[in-house]
Amino acid sequence: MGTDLIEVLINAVKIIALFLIMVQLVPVLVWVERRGSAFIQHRYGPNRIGPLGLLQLLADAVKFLNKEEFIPKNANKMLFYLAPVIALVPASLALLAIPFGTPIQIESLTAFGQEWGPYSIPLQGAVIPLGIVYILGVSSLGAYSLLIAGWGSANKYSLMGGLRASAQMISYELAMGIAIIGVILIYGTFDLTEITLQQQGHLSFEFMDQSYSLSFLPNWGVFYQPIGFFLFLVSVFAETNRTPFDLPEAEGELVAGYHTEYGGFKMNLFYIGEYGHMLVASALLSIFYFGGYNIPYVSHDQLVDFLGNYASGPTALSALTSLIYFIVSFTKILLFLWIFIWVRWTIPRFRYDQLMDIGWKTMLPWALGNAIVTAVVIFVARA
Amino acid sequence: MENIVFYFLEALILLSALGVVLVTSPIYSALFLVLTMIGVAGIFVSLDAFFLAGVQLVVYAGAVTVMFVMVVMLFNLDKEKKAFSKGTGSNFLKAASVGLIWSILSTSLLYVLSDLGK
Amino acid sequence: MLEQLLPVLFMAIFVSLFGAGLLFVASLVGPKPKTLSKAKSSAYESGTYGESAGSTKIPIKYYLTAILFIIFDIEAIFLYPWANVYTDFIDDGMGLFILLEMAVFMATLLFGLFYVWKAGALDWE
Repeated sequence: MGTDLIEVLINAVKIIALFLIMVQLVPVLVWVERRGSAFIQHRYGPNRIGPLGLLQLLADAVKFLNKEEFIPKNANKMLFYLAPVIALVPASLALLAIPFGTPIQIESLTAFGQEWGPYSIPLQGAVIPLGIVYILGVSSLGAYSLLIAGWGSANKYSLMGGLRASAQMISYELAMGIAIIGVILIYGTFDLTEITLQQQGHLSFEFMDQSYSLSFLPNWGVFYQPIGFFLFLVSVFAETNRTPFDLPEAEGELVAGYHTEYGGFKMNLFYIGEYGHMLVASALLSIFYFGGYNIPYVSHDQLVDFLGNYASGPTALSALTSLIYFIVSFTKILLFLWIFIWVRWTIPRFRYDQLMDIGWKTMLPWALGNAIVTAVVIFVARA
Repeated sequence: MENIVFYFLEALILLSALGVVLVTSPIYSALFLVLTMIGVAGIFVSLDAFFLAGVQLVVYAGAVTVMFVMVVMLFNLDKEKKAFSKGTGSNFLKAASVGLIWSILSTSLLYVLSDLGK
Repeated sequence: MLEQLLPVLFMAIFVSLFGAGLLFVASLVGPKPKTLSKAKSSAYESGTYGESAGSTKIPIKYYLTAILFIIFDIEAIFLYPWANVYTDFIDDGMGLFILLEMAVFMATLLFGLFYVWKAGALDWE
């Protein structure tokens, strides 16, 4: 985490800030979701409290706090409280590995009456070399909170919801894991920063000893892996239990699925977990297929040259560059988050047998085929 | 600092592994197993085996133990619990398995110690 | 190195404390139920008297899905290191070797999937 006190402090603050971004995104996204659904369905949505209904977030928080503390009689009290807490963990741990921009180079700073030597602070919770494997591993723990919530509530709807959710999560994890293999094949690394760096510039590749260059397209993964992108997008929707795959909370059959018995802040923590998963998924989509923090049509050198006019000193310059990259990557992430919301209010939910059929009989063979075709094409192009 | 993390992981593994065998409720037992697996993944990281740590998480903590937890939740295990915590037959089995594990452990420990002595 | 583990541990502990603290504060602030009638404290069951979750029959399909997932997940995880070194092997002139090696593995995987499919293990009526 660092070599001396200041670096450890900076890293700790960074990690906490990352988590708070994730938590603070939830009310904003809930507002966007409600306003967005109203927009799609030609309604008004929440527009009474504050401008554009923005203070609705605050009102919701107060309402959550004022909920009665209640657990059902037969529920397992310990598991009932444990489930919402560990619902937060996988998403926030996965968020650590996401790079949001170039590192900030700090030449020196004075604190506690002492000079502290040069630092390179990456815009990433933790520099994890095997980012893809780490994220897969951590997010595969996501099934537990749903199972525990379903079982701990001692309600058959909850139990069914939890089982459905976890079966669906593991089924689509397979398709997702194999869809990523195409990306790893192309970039030859597990490192998310490295994958981002390889997507700089405009589209150019070598095929059978001839180079092709398309200057009107950025060098994004989606142009190499269009099928992989689609497969990943669909499986991510299922992983996060979002419509059209929100079978675990199908109101018509299961009341509210695994959180039937939950209310107030306990329910809210499940929401934070779900939106955290969406955030991680959007970040992965942008890194794998849309260039991560790279700005299309603007190279790193051009950006640094341009910002050099405004920044004084190397520290300010690198901080400004990182800020721009952070804004760019976050814009991409927000676009994907909007797609999540957009799809939710556009496509109806599948039946459970259809969901499993899509996962095992369509997505899995296509993902395997995608991996094989990618491997063969790379072999032909390189050898 | 590294030592602290190592001891933390060791304590996590040992305590949760003890939890797996000592807790009577099968669901808690399975959940303790998850913690054990996560701790082992941490130990793999400390040995610079990052990929193995990831595999440990994906396969053992994320797939095998999910199945255990699912199975425990699917079936009503009250009858089995009673059958395995009462009666001379199961007591004999328990004592025999503990003795077997203990003898394996002590033999290997003796082997290692005598090897160190040379 | 354990150095890389520290932020992860820090985050895990911080998040757990955050969640637990939030639940604790919410339980302090929120009103306590004065009386709990039998109907209120029982599990939600659309208005009728509830039966306990332990007595519900659960389709065996979930268990089957979990088992199949383990098999294919382990096979998929073997593809990861292969994909990571694939281009390096091609550049070293061993491309055909690594491609065919994995083709055999993939064929086994696909055959397994085909078998499971035909055996009807993937059907959810």
